[in-house]
Formats: sequence, structure tokens, C-alpha cells
Amino acid sequence: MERKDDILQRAIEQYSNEPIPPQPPQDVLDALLTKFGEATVPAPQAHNTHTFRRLAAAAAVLIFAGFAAGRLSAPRQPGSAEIQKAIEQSLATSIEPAVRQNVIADLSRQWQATLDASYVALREELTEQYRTDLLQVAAQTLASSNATTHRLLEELVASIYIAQVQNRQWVASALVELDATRRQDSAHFANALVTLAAATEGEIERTKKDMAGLLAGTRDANTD
Amino acid sequence: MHVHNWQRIAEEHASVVWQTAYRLLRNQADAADCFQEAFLAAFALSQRQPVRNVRALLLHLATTRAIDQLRRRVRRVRHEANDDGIDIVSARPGPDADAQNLELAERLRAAIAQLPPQEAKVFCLRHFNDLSYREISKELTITSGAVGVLLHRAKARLRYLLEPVEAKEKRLPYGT
Repeated sequence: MERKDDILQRAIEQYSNEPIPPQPPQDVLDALLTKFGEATVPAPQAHNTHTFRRLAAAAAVLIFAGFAAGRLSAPRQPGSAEIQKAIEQSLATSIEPAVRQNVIADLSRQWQATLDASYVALREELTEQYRTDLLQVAAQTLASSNATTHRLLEELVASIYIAQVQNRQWVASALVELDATRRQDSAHFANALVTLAAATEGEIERTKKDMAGLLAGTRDANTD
Repeated sequence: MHVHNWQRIAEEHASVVWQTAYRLLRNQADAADCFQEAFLAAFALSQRQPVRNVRALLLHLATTRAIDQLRRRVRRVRHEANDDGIDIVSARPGPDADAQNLELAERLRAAIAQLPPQEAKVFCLRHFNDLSYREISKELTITSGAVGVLLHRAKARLRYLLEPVEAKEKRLPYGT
């Protein structure tokens, strides 16, 4: 499968040859080193254990020394209750602060590690939430913009419809007026034709009479 | 228990972790996030259990986070481009050879983001970080045989995703 013209091989070569910065930016590295410095300021576990052992040995020596001193200086043999009390006091004064300090340091380190891990998760979650909110706001804005555009278009359509209706009414009234004028003109024309016909008929009658008179005069002249 | 000096480790492995993240993401801010997250996660892990191979662990964590970031980016781009019907992985060959090569590397990134996570990790660790089968199998707690199988599947799937559209149309889709 490792052909010379293999598209995957070419892609891997191209990918590997892309120029990239060899080192991370100094501020990124410094921030990381600072975090590590803060996280490792408390003494390491091994050192803690060692210190704890030394403290325990010192406490044991102190207890033994206290016990020996008490035993030697006491006028009488101390009872078991007194010995127990002395041991408790010695333990309380020598070990308790060291144990308390170790516990605090250990808890602090564990909390730091937990906080670092949860910080990353929280940041991712917040980024995702931010993107989701942004998309939602964009969708809402788009929806409201669409609604406004729709309303304006409806108003425009309504105004166009009203203008069309007015135009139709005006055209209709103009047609009615035109028809009335046409009817009136037709009536006038008919009357004029009747008058002309009557005048023409009288004129024909008169012409007939004149022709008859003329013919009669012409006949009389020929007879004479 | 062995105690690591994480400041020294950070200085020693910063370069390789940075390059791993940057190569996959090609974005300084995203690579910086991935870089810090990988180191902090390795540090947190070292507080809970012993770490034998710090370099392999750091490369594993950086690759995992970079692939996650890449997948989120590709999903986002695809979601935004969905309305326009734009295909993210453009298979159209360009006239210029450099542009074509550049497009090939970008397409490889987009194709890696489409792989199953385990296959993508194995492919990146093997081909971009030069880890051996043994190191990968230890880091991912799988057998060397499983590494080989995942690598083979990843390469086959990547070849299919990188092929031009015309070549794809001539044969059946991958996996059918």
C-alpha cells in the first residue's frame, strides 16, 4: 500500500513538512512553569515522610527522657495514670504541630491538583455554554428580524392592494361617464339624422314640383 | 514512589508537545490551551499513580486533546456550513501545485477529525510522533496486535476520505 503516488503518503509528507514554531511562546511556558512551581512548593512526599520519621524519633527520645527524668527525680514511684498523662502531654506538645502541618500541606497539594483538573473541565464547559448561548441569541435575533420584515412586507402588500382598488374604482367611474357621453352623442346623432331626412324629403317634393312645372311649361311652348 | 520534577520535565518536553499540538490545530491559541492541558493532566495523573514513560504520556495527552479540539472545530464548521450545503472536505483539485499540497494537509486534518478517536490517536502517535507499536500499546493499554489493526483501519479510512470525489464515485463507499 506504500505506493509512491499514495495520496495518504503525500498528505503525511506535506503535513510533516509544514513550517511550525519549534518552541511554545515564552509566556505560555512561563505560565505553565509558574503553575508547577505553585503546585510543588510544599515539600515532596518523600521529604515529608523523612521529616515525619525524624520528628517521631525526636518525640520518642523526648518521651523517654521525660519518663527517665520523672522516674529519677520523683520521690515516689509514679502511677500508670501519671505516666499516661505525661506521655499524652509530651505527644501533644511534640508531634501534634508537625502532624497538623503535614496534613495541611498534603490536603493543600491534593486540592491544588483537583482544582487544576476541574479548571480545565470547567473552562471547556463554559466555552461550550458560551457558544450555545451565542447561537441561541443569534437565532432569536434572526427570528425577530424575520418577524419585522414579514410585518413590513404585509403592510406593503396591503397598501398596494388599496392602491389597486382605488385605481379600479377610478377606471370604472371613467368608463361609466364615457358610456353616458356615448349614449348622449348617439341620441343627438339620431335626432340630427331624422331632421336631415325630413328636410331632404321636403326638398325632394319641392324639386319634383319644380320639375313638373318645368315639364308643363316646356310642353306648352312646343304646342304653340 | 518516584517523584518527578515537573518544571524540568516541562522544559525538556515543551518543544515536542507544542509541535504535536500545533501541527494538528494550526492555531496558536488552541495549541497553547492544548499544551497546558496536557501538562496539567499529566501532572494530576502523576499524583495518583506512577508514570513510567513521561514523554509517551505527554504525547498521548497532547494528541488526545488536540484531536478532541479538532473534532469540535470540524463539527462547528460543518454545522455552520450545513445551511449552505457546503462540503468541508473539498475534493476539487486546484490549478496550482502548492495550493493543492496545502489543501491536502488541511484535508488530512479534517479527515483525522472524522476518524474514531482511538484510530485517530494511534495514527497520530505512530506517524506524527514516531512512537513504536510497543509504546503505543502500553500508553493506550491495548495489545500490539490491536495497534496494528487500528492503524490499518485508520489508514484505509483516511485514504477513502482523501480521495477526490470523482474517484469515490467510481467505486462503493468505504465500509459497504
